[in-house]
Amino acid sequence: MSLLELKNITKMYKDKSVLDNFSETMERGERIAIIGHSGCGKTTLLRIISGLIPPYEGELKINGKIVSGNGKVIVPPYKRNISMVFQDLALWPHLSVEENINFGLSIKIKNKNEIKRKTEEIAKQVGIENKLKEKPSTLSGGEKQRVALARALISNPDILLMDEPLSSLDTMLKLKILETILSLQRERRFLLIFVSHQFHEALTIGERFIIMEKGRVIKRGNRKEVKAYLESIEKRFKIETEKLSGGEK
Amino acid sequence: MEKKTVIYTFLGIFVLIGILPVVAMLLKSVLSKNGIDLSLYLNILSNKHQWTVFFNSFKLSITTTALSIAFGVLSAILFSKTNLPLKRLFTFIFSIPLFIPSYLNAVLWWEIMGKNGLMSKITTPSIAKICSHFYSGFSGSVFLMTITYSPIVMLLTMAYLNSINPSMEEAALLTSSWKRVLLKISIPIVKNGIIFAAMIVFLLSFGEFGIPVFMKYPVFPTESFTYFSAFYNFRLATALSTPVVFIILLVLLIEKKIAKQQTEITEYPNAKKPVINLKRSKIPVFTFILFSALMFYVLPILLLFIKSLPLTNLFHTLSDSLESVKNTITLGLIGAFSATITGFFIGYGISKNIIQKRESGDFFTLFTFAIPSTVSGIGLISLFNNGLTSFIYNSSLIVIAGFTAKYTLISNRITRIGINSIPPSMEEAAEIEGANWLYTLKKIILPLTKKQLMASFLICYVFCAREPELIMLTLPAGKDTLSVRLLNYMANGSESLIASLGIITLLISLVPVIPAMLLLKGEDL
Amino acid sequence: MKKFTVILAISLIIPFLLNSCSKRNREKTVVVYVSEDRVFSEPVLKEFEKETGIKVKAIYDTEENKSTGVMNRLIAEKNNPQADVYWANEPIRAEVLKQKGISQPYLSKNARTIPDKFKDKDGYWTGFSARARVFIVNKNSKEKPESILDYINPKWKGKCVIANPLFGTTTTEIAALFTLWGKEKTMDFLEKMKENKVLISTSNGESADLVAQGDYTFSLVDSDDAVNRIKQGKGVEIVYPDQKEGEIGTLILPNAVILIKGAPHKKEGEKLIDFLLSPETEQMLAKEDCAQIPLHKGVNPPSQLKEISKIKTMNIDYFEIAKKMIEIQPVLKKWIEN
Repeated sequence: MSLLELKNITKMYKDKSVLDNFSETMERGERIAIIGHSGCGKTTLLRIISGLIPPYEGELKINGKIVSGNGKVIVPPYKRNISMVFQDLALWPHLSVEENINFGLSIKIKNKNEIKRKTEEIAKQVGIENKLKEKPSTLSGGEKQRVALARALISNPDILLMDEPLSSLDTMLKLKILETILSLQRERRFLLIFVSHQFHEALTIGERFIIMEKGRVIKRGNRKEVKAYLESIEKRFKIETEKLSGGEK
Repeated sequence: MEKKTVIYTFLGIFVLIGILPVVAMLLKSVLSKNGIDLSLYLNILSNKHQWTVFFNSFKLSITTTALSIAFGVLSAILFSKTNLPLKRLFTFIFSIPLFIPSYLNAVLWWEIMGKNGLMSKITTPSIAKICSHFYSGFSGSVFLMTITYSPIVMLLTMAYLNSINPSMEEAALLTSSWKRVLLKISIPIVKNGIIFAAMIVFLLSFGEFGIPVFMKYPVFPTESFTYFSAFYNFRLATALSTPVVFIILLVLLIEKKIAKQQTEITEYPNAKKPVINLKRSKIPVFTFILFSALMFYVLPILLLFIKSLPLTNLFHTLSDSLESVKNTITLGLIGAFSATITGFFIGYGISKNIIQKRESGDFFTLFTFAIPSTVSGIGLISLFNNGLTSFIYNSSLIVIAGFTAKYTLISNRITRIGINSIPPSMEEAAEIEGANWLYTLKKIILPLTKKQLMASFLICYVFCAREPELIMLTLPAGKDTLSVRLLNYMANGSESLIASLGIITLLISLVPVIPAMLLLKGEDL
Repeated sequence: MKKFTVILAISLIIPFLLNSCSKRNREKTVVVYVSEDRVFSEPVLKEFEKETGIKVKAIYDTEENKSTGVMNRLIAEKNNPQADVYWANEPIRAEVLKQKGISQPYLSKNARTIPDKFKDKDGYWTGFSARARVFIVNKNSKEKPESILDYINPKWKGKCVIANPLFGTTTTEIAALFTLWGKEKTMDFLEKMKENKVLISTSNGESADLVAQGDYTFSLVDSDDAVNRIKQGKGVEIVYPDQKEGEIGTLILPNAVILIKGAPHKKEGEKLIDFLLSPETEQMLAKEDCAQIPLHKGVNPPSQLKEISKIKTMNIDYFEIAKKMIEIQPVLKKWIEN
């Protein structure tokens, strides 16, 4: 039995399909990167997986149990044991870092000491243990990332969805965060679904890849296959740009 | 699911207490023994006089709105963007007229501008004559209504100006003078806020009754009112108040035309806001503002205060009206709370597309706001005064219902600004974390819209505290509020009694304003 | 702490909202809607409370909306009345309510000594403490007006005032003229008033002030307005119009009290009516600024005014006036606006 099964998932917005017949099976411990330009349907896919929105058609199973289907959300997001890091991080500005991180946990657990212990533990793992009392607005971009990551991982999810979480960071910072994500994923063995339009970071983090365009899958494969594919595209791009700049001379 | 339940519950309450009573009145005005009878309406439409009065009302409210925008926006810029000294104090002083029932305001100014008023004592007879001539009819109404309603524009514009992303102004300042930045960047960004304020002022002045009556300027509300007061003809009176519907439609249309895109208002608490340095004009501007503050805002209040002296008299009046003070505060607080909450949920429903028809939501909240209190009051009586719901009619709940219906508009619009500025991901993140909607509401949405909620609450409180008509029609016998008491005694009561009641009413209207100002100190509203 | 505040708030709010129902049945109460000015009526009602121990719950009209408040409320509440008694400041409203089926008859023992012309014969309303419609005249004028017809006498051109006939007692007066003279003559009178440059003021109070200041010579006002100006030491005097043989007499407008049909506290309501119709109440209302003319014999009128029996009163039917008032409103409106 697979952890996550997607079967013929379709989503329409006002008669336009943004996700067309998407099927895939994913297992615990896998790192899957979904690559595509904005508007290719990757964010919609994440939102369907998380249960924030229902699919228009198709079926979604977690551990063999149907969680979305028939155009409806059957199991609500918080019962799926899924976490998500949003593109804009969605840190709540009025809550402290600590409160941001243990927001979900304090609904499930009443024991304050345990909450505190778990919060500190994850904060240490992502490296923001000194910032717990501060408000998100005082943090740097990288620190905000780490808070969002900590918040997503504190409840030990089976699946972690990441929606272009690193797009606003500079390259060095990105590397450091990627390192943290990878080490945590190796340690905790959750299924990581990582969505990005920047294939370098996607290539770093993923081990299985899906390239999408206009709601459809245009390429699937392992790192080697996808890398070759992407490089061929890049090469074509290079030739075209050289032509352009040459033409200007 | 629970989200929808909550929102539809509030929507249902609003329909029940706001729309049904008025619709019942409207139905009665078209139904007669022989079925549908539109003759009343046809009569009104074909009556030339009605059109004249309608045009008067229109002229009056348009002029008032235009002047209020001019003064309100100018003072908002001065008080929120410049380095003018004492600007907080001025903001407060300029808002005072909003806290007093308009009829009292009219009488107060009569003491200054009237035939035997202050002006006749300190100036030449010819100037006094010009003053008293000015203080009547159209000019007098415009003058007083602008003083009364321009604070609404000022306060709302300030709230919006304070939430502009400073970098937008800074970017423009690199290439342009402040004048250009204000005209091309700041004001266009807060345009929607100004339009909203203008809308409120327009509707309030269109429905204003006390001031035009005092000034002997025939307007539409007095027409409808005459049919209530002289003929007790509810059908005709209701029919006469329906042009309000056209006015609302017009207002909505204009709003839709100019306020097309929703400007995104976000908070930048840590960024330092650029300040306009008045430099050499600082002293003249300050002198001018100080003079206007003293002349137009402090003087009438001072006069009122002097008339209420000695202090023992003031205390005596206070101890006599303790019950009314209590009622005013309690009804005001509960009314404002209820209107704010209802408006918030309807606003949430509209901005999250849970209430599908946004236009009709906007229409109905405007409708209950603009319809004359006499119509809605009598509608409430006829709907709730029966064996089944008399527990509502026989208690203060009926007044709360009336307030809620009337002022839902305010918080519906203001809190929507806050709700729209919360990124959807904030709520989704909470949902994924396992929070149900009510928990998300409590922990995320309400705290993030705190400022807008508080602003709506304050505005609603002030409106509730100064409103006499609805209370007169619906509050159970044996109770009154300060505004009603004041207007009761204005008939033949002694000057000092009226003055002391006026002072007390003003102070009580300020009750929640002062702690709120202290609470928000340092922060901007 | 938070929970505590919430509980505290709720426990304060709920009783406040509902207290009017819970207390309702325990104490003896009477609910009265009042159109007479609160300054004058409240002390009378307090006196009633003191004397009988019955709690009075009152709603008073406001100056701003003149009398829309309680009358409209009475009419709107018709199907489930909340009020027991209505204290009108003139009898026309009482007639309107009778015609709308909102009052019920009650013949108070104290009404017997009130002249018949000031009460409904079946007891649907009873008058007490009256105003007279008198001329307030500036003393500097050598000549005095004597009749309402002086408004159209060229000798007074531009020297007289009348309050806006669309509101208040002036409407009643004009309606009374319509019943006495008929439409043609009254309309002619109104038109000639215009030609004679009669000033239209907002209220009787303003008219009285204009005369007291000497801006105008005379105006028709309520007797209490005139008495007040005399008390303030203004150089004015009172003239009762049309007192001579063959003239129409002075219009008298008593307060009127009615018992509401279906009154929830009928017994207490009747007691209040008895009290209001007593000579003692009339005495209270004759004093000070209220200055109403008592209708009982033997109660002293304010010193500035005549006894009711010494005034030649206008011979009119309040019922007819009530009917006329509705009829003439459009006419008056047109007249005002042109």
